[in-house]
Amino acid sequence: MSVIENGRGEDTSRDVAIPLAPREESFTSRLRHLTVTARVGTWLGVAFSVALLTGVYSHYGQSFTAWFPLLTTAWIYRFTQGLHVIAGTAAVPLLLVKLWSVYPKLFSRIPWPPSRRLVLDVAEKASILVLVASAVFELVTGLANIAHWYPWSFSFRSTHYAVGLLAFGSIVLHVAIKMPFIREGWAQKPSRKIATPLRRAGDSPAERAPAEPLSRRSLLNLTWGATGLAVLATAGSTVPFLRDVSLFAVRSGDGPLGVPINRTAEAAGVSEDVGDGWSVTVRHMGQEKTFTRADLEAMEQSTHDLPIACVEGWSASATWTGVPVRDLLAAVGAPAESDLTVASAQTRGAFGRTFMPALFASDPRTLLALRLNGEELTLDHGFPARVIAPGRPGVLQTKWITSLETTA
Amino acid sequence: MSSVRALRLLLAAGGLVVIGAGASVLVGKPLPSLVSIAIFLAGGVIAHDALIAPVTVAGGAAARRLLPPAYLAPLVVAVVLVGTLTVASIPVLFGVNESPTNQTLLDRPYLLSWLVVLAVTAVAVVVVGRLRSRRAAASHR
Repeated sequence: MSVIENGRGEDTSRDVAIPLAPREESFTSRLRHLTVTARVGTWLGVAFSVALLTGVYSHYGQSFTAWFPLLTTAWIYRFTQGLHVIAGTAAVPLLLVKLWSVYPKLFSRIPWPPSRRLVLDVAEKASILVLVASAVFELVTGLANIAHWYPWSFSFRSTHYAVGLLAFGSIVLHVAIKMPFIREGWAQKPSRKIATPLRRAGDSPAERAPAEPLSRRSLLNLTWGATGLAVLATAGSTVPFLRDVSLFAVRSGDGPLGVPINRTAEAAGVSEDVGDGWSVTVRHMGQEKTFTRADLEAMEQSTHDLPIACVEGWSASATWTGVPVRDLLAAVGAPAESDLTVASAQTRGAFGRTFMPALFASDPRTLLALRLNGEELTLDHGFPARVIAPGRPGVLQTKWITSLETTA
Repeated sequence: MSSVRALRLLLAAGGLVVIGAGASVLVGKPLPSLVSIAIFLAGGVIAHDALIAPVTVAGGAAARRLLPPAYLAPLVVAVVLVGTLTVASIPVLFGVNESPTNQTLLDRPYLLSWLVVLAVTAVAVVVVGRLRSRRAAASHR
């Protein structure tokens, strides 16, 4: 740090305080400490990294082309999306405590007169502004989205993805800038002692600070406790054995035939009599074959236990019965390894036509399902027939199927 | 150049690239979306820096003045735990369910659970605070 000196060796720089705001020194809590900030910040970084990785997996898994190999492991999407929402929820107390621990720095003195120090200070504050704005944005929009509350006018998926990149990028930048402090914070042990007032109190706010209610070690333990509580209170949407303790989960996990529903027939614009005269058409290079529900029921049925998992973090295991998609392809002479366009009777929403890569079409567990948990599908579950494939995003497990077509 | 310095430079450059990637997705958006995004980005910062943080600091100062010291620790524990639960549950407690016909969504009595949690926590703070004051008084005797 450079100090402007006059001839007598005195500091003549006049760092200025922000007018009408408290001073950094006005905040006296001795719980705000590098040992606390470094630890909470590190775990916040871990939470955001997990959310970014799982989010990117889902973002590209939903698009037509992924630049990494998708997996047909049945539990993969349930795992990544459950983890995504759990990591985001865990980040709530971590972010709040982290910001609390460094809040006084918001009011730090501005280096003055203008110098290299001022430029660096402004650049660093700008990077922190991006970090705080994008991190809060991600948690707010993510938590609102899983509750189907959309008080905004932007596309959730692409915006949550883009701002997620801003958040993760600015966290990485912040780690680079603060690395000496992070290392120092981790090198020291958080104090187990409860700070008491100084015996000889002076005039500065810090010297007159009252006793703290708890130690730094206790504050950290409390933060981990709050993180655990936030997860326990919500993770039941995807972790079955937590159902009964997750009082604040957006879904109890219950639903018709024991499986929740993301988009109802009504919301998708599917009429109640979609089953009347219904048939599904399978097309391949000019070949075309139409199957009524009775035709499908007459074919050899397969039954598989596959989870259905939503990008919103909820998931449920279920037993699905129907005709393997590859058998339908064989009926029109199409190879099992065919990329497919799947069309639905739904008239509202972005997923009326979806793409199914050959990887999934050829998997013997990928079904045009007719039954769920031993019962006929309900309308909201996609009656007369729906697609279920292992490890795919729920929005691509298309319901109310009207046609399957190979793409050239 | 030390290896730590090299790592820091690498991280800083990587971070800037990722920020740029995110920003490049955002700039392609139509104006009404950008306005809404800006409102949410700024709103989060204002909600924290001008509301949550000052209220927390002022609440702490008020509690110090108004409450006996024995109550402070249980109060901090309660505020952090219930505050976390409340913030994380704002959408289910106070949000608008835009899929009201979906019976499998928001199918729990959230407000009731929250009020019970608040009541139980308040009682716990009082009980623990009293026990602590008594213990403190006894040790002074």
